[in-house]
Amino acid sequence: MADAGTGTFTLDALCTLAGLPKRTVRYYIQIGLVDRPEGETRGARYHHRHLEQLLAIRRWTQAGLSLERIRELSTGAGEAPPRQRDRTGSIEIWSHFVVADGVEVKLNPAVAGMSSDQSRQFFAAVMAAYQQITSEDPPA
Amino acid sequence: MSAIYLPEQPAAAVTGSVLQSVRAEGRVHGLLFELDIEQCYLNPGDSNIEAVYTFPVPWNAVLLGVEVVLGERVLQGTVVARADGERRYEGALEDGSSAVMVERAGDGMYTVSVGNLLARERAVLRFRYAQLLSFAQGQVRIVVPTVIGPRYGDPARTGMQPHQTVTNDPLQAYPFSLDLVFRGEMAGAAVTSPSHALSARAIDGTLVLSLAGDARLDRDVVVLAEGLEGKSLTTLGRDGDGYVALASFCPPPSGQEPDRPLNLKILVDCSGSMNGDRIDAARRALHDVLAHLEPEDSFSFSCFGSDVRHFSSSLLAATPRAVTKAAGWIAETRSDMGGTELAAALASTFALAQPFEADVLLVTDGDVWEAEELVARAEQAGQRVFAVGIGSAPAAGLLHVLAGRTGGACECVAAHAEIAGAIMRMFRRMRQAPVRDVTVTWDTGPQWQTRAGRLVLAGETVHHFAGFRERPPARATLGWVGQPDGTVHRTDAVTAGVTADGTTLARVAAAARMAGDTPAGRHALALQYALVSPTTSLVLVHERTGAEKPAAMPALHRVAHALPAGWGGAGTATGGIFGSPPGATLRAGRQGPPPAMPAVWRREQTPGMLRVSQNSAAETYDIPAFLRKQVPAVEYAYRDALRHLVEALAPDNTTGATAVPVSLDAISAHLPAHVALELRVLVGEGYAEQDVADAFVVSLARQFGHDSFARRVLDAIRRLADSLRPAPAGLGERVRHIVLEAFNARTGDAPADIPAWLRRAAD
Repeated sequence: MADAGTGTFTLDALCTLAGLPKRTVRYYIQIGLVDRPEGETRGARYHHRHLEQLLAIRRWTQAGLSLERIRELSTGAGEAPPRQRDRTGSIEIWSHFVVADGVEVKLNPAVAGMSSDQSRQFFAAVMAAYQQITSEDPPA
Repeated sequence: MSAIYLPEQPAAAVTGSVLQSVRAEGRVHGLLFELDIEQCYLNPGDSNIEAVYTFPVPWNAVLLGVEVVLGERVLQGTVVARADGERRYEGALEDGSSAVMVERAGDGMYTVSVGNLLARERAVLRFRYAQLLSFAQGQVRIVVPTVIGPRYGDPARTGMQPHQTVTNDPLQAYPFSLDLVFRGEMAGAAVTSPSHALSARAIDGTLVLSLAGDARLDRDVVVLAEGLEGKSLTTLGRDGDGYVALASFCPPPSGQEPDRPLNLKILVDCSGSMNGDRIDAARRALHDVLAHLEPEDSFSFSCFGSDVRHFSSSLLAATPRAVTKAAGWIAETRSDMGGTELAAALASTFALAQPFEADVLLVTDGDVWEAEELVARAEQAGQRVFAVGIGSAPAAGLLHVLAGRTGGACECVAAHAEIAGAIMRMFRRMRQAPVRDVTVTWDTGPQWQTRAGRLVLAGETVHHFAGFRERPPARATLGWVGQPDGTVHRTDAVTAGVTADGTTLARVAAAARMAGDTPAGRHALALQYALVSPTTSLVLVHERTGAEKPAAMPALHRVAHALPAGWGGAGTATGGIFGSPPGATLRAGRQGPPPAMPAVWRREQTPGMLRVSQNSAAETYDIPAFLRKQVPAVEYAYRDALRHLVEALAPDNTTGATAVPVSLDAISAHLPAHVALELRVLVGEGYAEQDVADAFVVSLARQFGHDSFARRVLDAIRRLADSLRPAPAGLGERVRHIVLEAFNARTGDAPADIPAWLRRAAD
């Protein structure tokens, strides 16, 4: 099915080889799971690399992986070591800012990397937003 | 596997959605509901895009047509085989032309793709639907869903293609407007909405309802039309050279049938998505369920999330002791069981206490991607499933199909005010004796007819279609055999003698016929009657020429749904955060006596009832905005009763005596039945009766501490509270919780009646 001269496929040929509908293949390209083709619209050409990407996605979706997880796997993002946190015995300082009864903002400025001035501005903005919303339409 | 599919690229979805607004206009005439929905798209960017939106429709609505306005041009779609539709759509995009494709995405869902919307171009899509409404014991419930919430599981299991999956974005808020026109007898109905504030106008004998205020695509629009008498009637229409007939039977109550004892397996969804309003509504519904159990009934109670937990291994007789115990289980019900493994939970519940014949009462939001397989397995199990859908936007499609195919029924409750009525109707259905041999016969031999259902209930509509080659029928007869006595019942539906214009009836009939046909037959019907089905889609192409043609593949813009109001505890849909004042009754005048239905179904007790005068046809009535703001949506249900109790408890200054002794029996007489029941649960758990009564009075006195009682009463009640014994550890907090719930309960939240077993015990 590949073009003998260039080793490339049309979209139709690619879909047939991958066993996926055209709409789905285009969707994977649009969301960045599969590389864009060479050329556009009718002149678009696809390579073996595209076919391999599609076959891998098909295999992973059949195994029950979400597209988001497949994206992580294909870009290697899934391999990043998780951030160590919540060690037993560790002490974390959190600011609890009470906006109103039942409304609270929790902030760890060290982790968030916010200066005290930024924290103050942030709380002021939250307070103003709350007052504006509740004055327009008071809670029951 | 991770449960909920969130936006794959959240940042892209947060701002600047291409969907600008949605406008809907519906017409209700008899039991036919026609709805036109207009979606307005705008490409604000500088390059061509493809907008994709999976949107909800009423669960059994039939899509009749799609019209697209693109610039100056108006285009009509045609229905073709799905593969053909995809070929045309993809071909158009590759050519640089624009195209629109509408595909079915599942029960009650369609996906529309608007391909190659050029830079700063606007497109308006108009969808036309028809839906058959049903009487359900005195009311007709009209639902216009507007949002699909996050659901548990893999959408691919329902046959959804990757591009059709639904994403949710908490920051989206699409404007939505709706007008509903009630014609004919429907214009005389008492209309309420538990979901939205409405304004009403009476124009030339019709009732026109509009959503008041700024509505958003964040909850189902629910409109209840009450006070109508269910009728059996046959409607005729043309179908090519022949005729199509719709017989709508509404069997009258058969009279003195004894209530059937129930074997009921209660199964409650305790998954994370039930957090907030939903689990609260579920608990209220379950307390109502307990209140309807009779001593002859038996029941089990199970919760599910990622796992299922059965609180008993067999069915328990509904003795006062067992019901009290179950009330405790319900009070402890939390939305803390993780995912929504509905299929496994149902299978496990079906297997419970076999081989006894039992029904399953499922209370859930239905937010799960499940489909045919689950329903087929439930059907095989042979136990009826009665489903109560909870929330501002429950997945009604799945619940209706599940209930319908197993011979049960489905009720959805959008607000606390609907719970009592829904549970009462459900019990009526469950207590009716099962029927067999349901048949529909016509006075003229039909060419084809739809399969008769398995369930015939008094006061509930059964729709049945048939086709006739030459002569239209004059009468249809629904027959069924009651069990166990074998009595034969019949009810007739005669024609009004008028043949409806247009092809709507024939196409709605074709959609109904598809359910009982072979796959090939379904496909042929879909193509013949231009219906979008799992094997067909609607497509239209607008050819672009020359420089207009975009050179590149369009960028994808998926329309993310808002989160349904109150979803997962994100705000509350019953309070003021998202809510506009719902619950007002609107009525375009009424001739004759008030509706013959139980008082608890009427909304007369709802405050702020608004009536539209129909003395003059020209007179119109809109609720002014300031009035809508001031009309309280609901009133406190028990606060007056509690105030009276506090007043009665306050010792007289001169004699020092109270009108009510502080004992559980004495104060119970002044309390709503379920509050008294909750206090008795504590006694059942081992607390001394006097301690419970004392803690209740102390807590109540504190609660009314800021109330505007006369100083004398307040001082007296405080002195009384101080003189009582301090509550044992843990009791005070639990009693305070009961007091708070009763203190803050709103009208319509209240259980309809004293529990049946309690009545019996008192007798």
